[in-house]
Amino acid sequence: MIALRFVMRCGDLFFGMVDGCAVFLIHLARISALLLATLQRLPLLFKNISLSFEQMYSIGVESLPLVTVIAVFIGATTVTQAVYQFSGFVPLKYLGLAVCKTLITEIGPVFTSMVVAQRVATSIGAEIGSMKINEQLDAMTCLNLDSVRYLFVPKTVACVIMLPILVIWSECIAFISSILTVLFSVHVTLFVYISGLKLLFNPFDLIVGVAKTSVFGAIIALTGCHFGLEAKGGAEGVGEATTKAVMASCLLILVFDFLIALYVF
Amino acid sequence: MAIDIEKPTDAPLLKIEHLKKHFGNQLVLDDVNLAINKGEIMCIIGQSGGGKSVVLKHIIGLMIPDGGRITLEGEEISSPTKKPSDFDKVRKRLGMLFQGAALFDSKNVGENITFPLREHTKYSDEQIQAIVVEALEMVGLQKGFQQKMPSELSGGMRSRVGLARALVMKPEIMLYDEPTSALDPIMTDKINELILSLRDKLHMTSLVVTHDMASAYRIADTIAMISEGKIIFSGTPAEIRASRNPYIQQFIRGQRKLHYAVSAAADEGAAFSQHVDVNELKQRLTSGKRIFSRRADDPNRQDTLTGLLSANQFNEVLEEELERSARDAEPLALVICDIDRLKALSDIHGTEFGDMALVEMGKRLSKCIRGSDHAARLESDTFALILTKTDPGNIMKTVDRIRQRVIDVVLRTQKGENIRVTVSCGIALASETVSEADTLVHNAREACAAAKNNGRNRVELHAP
Repeated sequence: MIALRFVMRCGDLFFGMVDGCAVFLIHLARISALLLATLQRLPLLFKNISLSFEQMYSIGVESLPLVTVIAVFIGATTVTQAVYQFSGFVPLKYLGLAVCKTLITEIGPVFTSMVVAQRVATSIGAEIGSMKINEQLDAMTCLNLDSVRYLFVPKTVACVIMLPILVIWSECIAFISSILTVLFSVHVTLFVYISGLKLLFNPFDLIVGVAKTSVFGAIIALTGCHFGLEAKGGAEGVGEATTKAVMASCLLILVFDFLIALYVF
Repeated sequence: MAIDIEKPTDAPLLKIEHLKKHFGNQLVLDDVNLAINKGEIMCIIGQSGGGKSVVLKHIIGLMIPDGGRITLEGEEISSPTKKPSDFDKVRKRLGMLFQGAALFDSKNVGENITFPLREHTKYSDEQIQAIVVEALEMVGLQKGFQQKMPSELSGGMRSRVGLARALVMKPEIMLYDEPTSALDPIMTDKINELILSLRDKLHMTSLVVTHDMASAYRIADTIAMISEGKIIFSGTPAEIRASRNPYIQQFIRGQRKLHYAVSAAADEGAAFSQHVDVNELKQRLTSGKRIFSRRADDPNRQDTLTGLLSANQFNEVLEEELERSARDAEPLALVICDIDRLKALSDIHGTEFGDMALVEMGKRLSKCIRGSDHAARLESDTFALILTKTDPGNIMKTVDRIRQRVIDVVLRTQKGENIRVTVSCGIALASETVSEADTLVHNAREACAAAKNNGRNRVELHAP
């Protein structure tokens, strides 16, 4: 009896996983379709460029305070942790090297993207979701206004352009914060730390590190739009849509980060 | 409505044929057929969740049907093989006002209205501004409203802005999805006025989905009722009021009694026929069922013997009609008809004869009255008629005519004798002093008793 129950449990679990995978793949397919539709409408972007500028402002500029604060702590924490890990084994002249590599390849781009995803994917998911619930999307269709062109393209373009800029800004702040941390709490001179930063510096790392955040930007905007479109019911549906948008965008950012690390570096 | 309607041309402007739609396993539209003429205002009524809005969404291409088709001036615009992108051209001729107006809440009123104009036309800013001001004026809003955000507006104002947004594209057909459902009575009236004025000024064809019967009566040229995915009625407001279908009657009188309608409809259609076939009755009698003088088991059901309203239903209908007559200042008369000496007759000629007399009487009474009137069987041999909109000056003559038609029948007993059955009628008129149902019934009964005392087979009016 117990064995039978165990087998049934395993079966349930297995089919649950299959189900989950299928749902995930369906969402992925729909997000890809949305990407395709967005790319198709890209040539029309300049006819309504003001919409994109509005989005750039709300997505990029309004994220600056949050990104700055986060960057300050990223810089300081990286230095502190590196010093602790190095103590007794690695000479501190390599401190700059370690901080530089981690900041420009992974922590800077991925951490910033995740933070922006949490701010922007929620807002896009909630906006599109409530527009769907209140029939505003239907109203647009009835007026022959293409929602992909007037809503999704500006948001996607804004994310793709603004996220790398935010990341560059965040890395600058993180470096300044790391330098200040070194000056005030670590027994390394500024000269040694800076020469460590420059040691083995590869511009390719920086370029790929920044460029990959454009991909993350597209992921954030498209998952937000997609789960907003899927919203059903009332306010609860919108809430669910935003949660799913954040979870999916963070997950996809990590997946794509891994793929890029695997194939590009 | 003092409006001259242009005579509709033969071919309808918009025609919906056999429209079908499923959502998952749920059949929402089964077989919807509608035809709308140019310049006509059609109201689609029905229960919430009955698929009214779904019909509109099919017309404007937000949904693709599973079966059937929609034609606009003979040209097919929607069918299962069409794609949403095929609607781009058609939508220019259609406008839609959503429930709650669906204004874009990130844009102010002015931007909401100009958005479609800027994208689809090449007008200059001045021209666009002029169009917007004109549209706002048409819906009764001032120019200053343009800077307000949708969140600052009340429900009625939102609806008007939504209407203005649809109007600037100059649609030929306007579709309204519950335009007045969330509005107070004054705002509802204003929106109704607007819909009518658009028909007058722009000769616009309108299709209004609503469950507000007052609005439907006010604006509609045609009312179509949808139930269980089918159009079960389509006709003028006067026709729907006169309809004998209990479901329709329950709906247009108020939804609280819907369960009668459903149970009556389930009664193998017998409830719809309003009268029972005498042959069928005889069969029932020979099979040993005695139904003479039997009260209906379920007081909510229609009277099983005659198919008229039961006593309980009668009380509710009477109260509603009294309310309505007080509100609309229309006359209302209650007539109590009592079959003369029915007990004695059935003692002599058998209870079958008594049943036959009752059935025949119910049949004749229901034939004598108009669609807006009601007939009920109160007790074994007492019937009641509610006559609405009957001139009180002529009431005696009217009722006497009914009496003559009722007694103009000869029943044959089992022994082959021909017997003429007569009735005594008492009338009571509703007035400001007599506005209670109980008082009215009491007065009518008194008048009926007076008619019996004064020699039977006659009509008496209760003297106030």
